[in-house]
Amino acid sequence: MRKRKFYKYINQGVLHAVLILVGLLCLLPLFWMVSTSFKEKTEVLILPVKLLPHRFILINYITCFRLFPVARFFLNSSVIALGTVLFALLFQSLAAYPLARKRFPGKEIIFTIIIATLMIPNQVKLIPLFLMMVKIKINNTYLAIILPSVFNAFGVFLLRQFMLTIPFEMEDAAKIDGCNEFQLFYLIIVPLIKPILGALAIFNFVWAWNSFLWPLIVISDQNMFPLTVGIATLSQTEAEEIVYNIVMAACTISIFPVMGIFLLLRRQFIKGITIGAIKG
Amino acid sequence: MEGEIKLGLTKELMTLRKAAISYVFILPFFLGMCIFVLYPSVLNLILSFFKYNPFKPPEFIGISNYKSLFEDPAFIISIKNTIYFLIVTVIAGTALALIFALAIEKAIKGAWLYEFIYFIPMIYMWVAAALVWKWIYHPTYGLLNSALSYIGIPPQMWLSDPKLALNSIIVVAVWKTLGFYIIIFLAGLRNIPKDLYDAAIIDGAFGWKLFWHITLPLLRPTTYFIIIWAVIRAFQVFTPVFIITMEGPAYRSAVILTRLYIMGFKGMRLGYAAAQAMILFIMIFSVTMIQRKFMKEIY
Repeated sequence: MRKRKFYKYINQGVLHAVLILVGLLCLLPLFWMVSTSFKEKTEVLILPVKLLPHRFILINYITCFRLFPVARFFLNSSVIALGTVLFALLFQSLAAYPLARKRFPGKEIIFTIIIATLMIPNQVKLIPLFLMMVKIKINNTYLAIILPSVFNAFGVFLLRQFMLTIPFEMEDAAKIDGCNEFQLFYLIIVPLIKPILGALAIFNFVWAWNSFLWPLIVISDQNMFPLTVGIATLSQTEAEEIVYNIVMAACTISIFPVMGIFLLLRRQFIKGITIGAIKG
Repeated sequence: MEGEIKLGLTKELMTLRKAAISYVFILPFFLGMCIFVLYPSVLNLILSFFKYNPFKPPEFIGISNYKSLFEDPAFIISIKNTIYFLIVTVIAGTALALIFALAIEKAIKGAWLYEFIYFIPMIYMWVAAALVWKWIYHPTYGLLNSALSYIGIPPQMWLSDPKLALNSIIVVAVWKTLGFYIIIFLAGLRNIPKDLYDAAIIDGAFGWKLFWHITLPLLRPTTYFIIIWAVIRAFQVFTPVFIITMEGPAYRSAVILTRLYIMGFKGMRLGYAAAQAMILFIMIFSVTMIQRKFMKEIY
């Protein structure tokens, strides 16, 4: 009996050791990024490589703000991400409601078309959207980045699934009390779908914050770059002053909001990101 | 008589009014979807049959774009690379995630900590993650070569060696999404009722058999979901290649999307790039269809 317990402890010990080791490996790049961002220029390009800076200096952060409009990038990313969340949740939940709760001619066809768009990968839209936006001259605007990702059938699908579980009695009760349709939606349905709205909000925010290819294509005015494109541009500049420590400082800044959300709302965050997995 | 007719009309009006509300609710989304999803997709298909340089009016050239694509060595390489990338990231990602998920489940305490740590790479913007790794892979001052030199391995040119470049990117991609797949596997694992294991143990099964006959089959839906997700993501890889190696050396790490971007937006050959997008679409579509059929047969 004692022997078995002993083996069990060894087992657990080894398991935890391996898990922790791999965990450290996972965190190493993060650590390295932050550490480099505090290094002086001379410490960045030396051998042997040092793990920790000799002195922690903040000047890299100041430099990257000075050389590039990083604050502006940050603002742009924020506007884009928040705008995406707002429009996406609004339009998607509005559309999901009648699809879940009402009957009307053409319901099946409309739903089928919406679901069919799930099969279309993003990249097919890139070139035509670019051409369209250049034509009507909105190609350097926030809306240009926000709008294409708002009309995503996946959110409609999930919201509809969730709405299907709301008992009809609630609506009936509200109608008896004299609610019109909009009030019903706003006062009854929306509070009931708060969990999934929260998860979708996080999902959309992170997705919009991290999006790179589309902003890269459609934005040519540097002042409108989101952080993703801004930092990429920063890192590809051939300037004398752009050494990796500054690039790492910019990167560290860029992951702050999402990291913050993650740390504060860990459960909801993971739920939001993995919302697609709970399909079955 | 009159009264009856009036009642009939009112009923129709009422159903129309009822339906109208539904249409009003759906309209913003549907309209936006048509403008920003359906219309561009159709336009892309049409565009792929044209030669379109922004300074001249478009010229219809039939399937000439597609023909040129299959004779374009850079494009062919990018397809090969994308498929290689796909196979390795999906297999490695899924297998590793499963192993770690099982390990976390077995390690009774501290699951939340490991979930947390392994998930952190997902938080990064791809741009930031790519830049850190580009720095880690630096031949002279990078962390990796430094660390390897301590155990006597000579410095490698991770990003400029044709044999290593794509694999270096694969490592980054697997690192980034591992936590995500682990979380999903954990959810799937936790859904398996413990009674099944207990019943099997009573019947004399143990260890390996438990895994093979209970865990694995019940994880099938989860595994399939992860594989489909990973495959679609792999087809759409762009940012790490763009940032870390920019298709180098000599297209050895080019992928379909980087070719599309460079051909379409740097080379301004929009019809050509549109054709590439269609090929990507067909590839993703057929793989997804095959996977779906495969799944249905298993069930």
